[in-house]
Amino acid sequence: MMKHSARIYFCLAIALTAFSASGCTTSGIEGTATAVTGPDGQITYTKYVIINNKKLARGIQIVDLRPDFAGNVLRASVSVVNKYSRTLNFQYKFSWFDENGHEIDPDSDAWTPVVLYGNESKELQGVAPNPSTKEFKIKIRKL
Amino acid sequence: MHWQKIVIGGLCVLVSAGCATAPRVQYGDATAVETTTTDFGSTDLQQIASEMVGSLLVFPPIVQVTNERRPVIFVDTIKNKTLEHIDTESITDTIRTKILRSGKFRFVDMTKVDAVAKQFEFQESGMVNKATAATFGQQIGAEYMLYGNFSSIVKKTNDVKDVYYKFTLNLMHLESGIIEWADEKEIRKISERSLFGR
Repeated sequence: MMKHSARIYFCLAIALTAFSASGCTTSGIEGTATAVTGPDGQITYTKYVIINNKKLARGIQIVDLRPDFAGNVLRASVSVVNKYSRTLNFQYKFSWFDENGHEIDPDSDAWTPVVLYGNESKELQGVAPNPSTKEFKIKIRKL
Repeated sequence: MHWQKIVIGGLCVLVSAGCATAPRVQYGDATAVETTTTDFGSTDLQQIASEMVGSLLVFPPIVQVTNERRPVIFVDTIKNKTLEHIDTESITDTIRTKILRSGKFRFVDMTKVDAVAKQFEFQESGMVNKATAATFGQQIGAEYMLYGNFSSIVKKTNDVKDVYYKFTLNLMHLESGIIEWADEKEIRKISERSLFGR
């Protein structure tokens, strides 16, 4: 009898720990395109991805970060792929920076929910708030 | 029995830490995804505004026009054809603010015409120094009109509710009557009754 109730308490403890942990916010994946202006005035981009959530990164991969300009407005295209065969729900948010690295209109973009079907790739697109934007960052996290 | 007390104590701490029973007020992230119900919410408003403004700013003919000058727009109403009571002015306010902050367009506010007329009357009443009074008849006429529709299709069974929203926005050149730009944003929200009810 003692053994049986001990097992129940143990299972309950494990379940509650998992429940509490699932309520916590998790950090995710960040992709950044940083502008470097050459001596000839030509802008080139350094792109890098930081993975703060390995579990999320096992399912979602940032394949490419592509900045381009429509007139003088920066447009960001980020290719992501679902490496699993099951559907993933996640959210993303763009942040925009001027040439000095200052964030422009922080929180002007909101978190956007996305559905990515199994093994599907998708372009996440964002448009800068104004022409002074030169760099961008995309943050991806679990929904 | 001693270890049972420890386990129960631990569980109580975990539960009280995870789910506070007393109501508590805290600030949240205004940009976070909100999925409380399938009704129109802040995330829908933010998505619509962001995508519409982004689409407008990078549309090639608009890029061409706004590279040379900052055309003037007036915002007409968004017709709410959904079954919900939605403050569509709040959507157009957000869209207008974003477009304005892009530095690409300027706006005239038709909702303030009466207030402006009253101010002109006051400035011409003799109480205001004429050198500082605003000159009547110098306001700039709008070149474009922004207007749209917001509709929804709702389907539900006992367990599932499916809501489809469609937001359409158009930019019309007033003089020619040509629609220079238009775009749509579709949103689908599904709620399913969980096994244990709600």
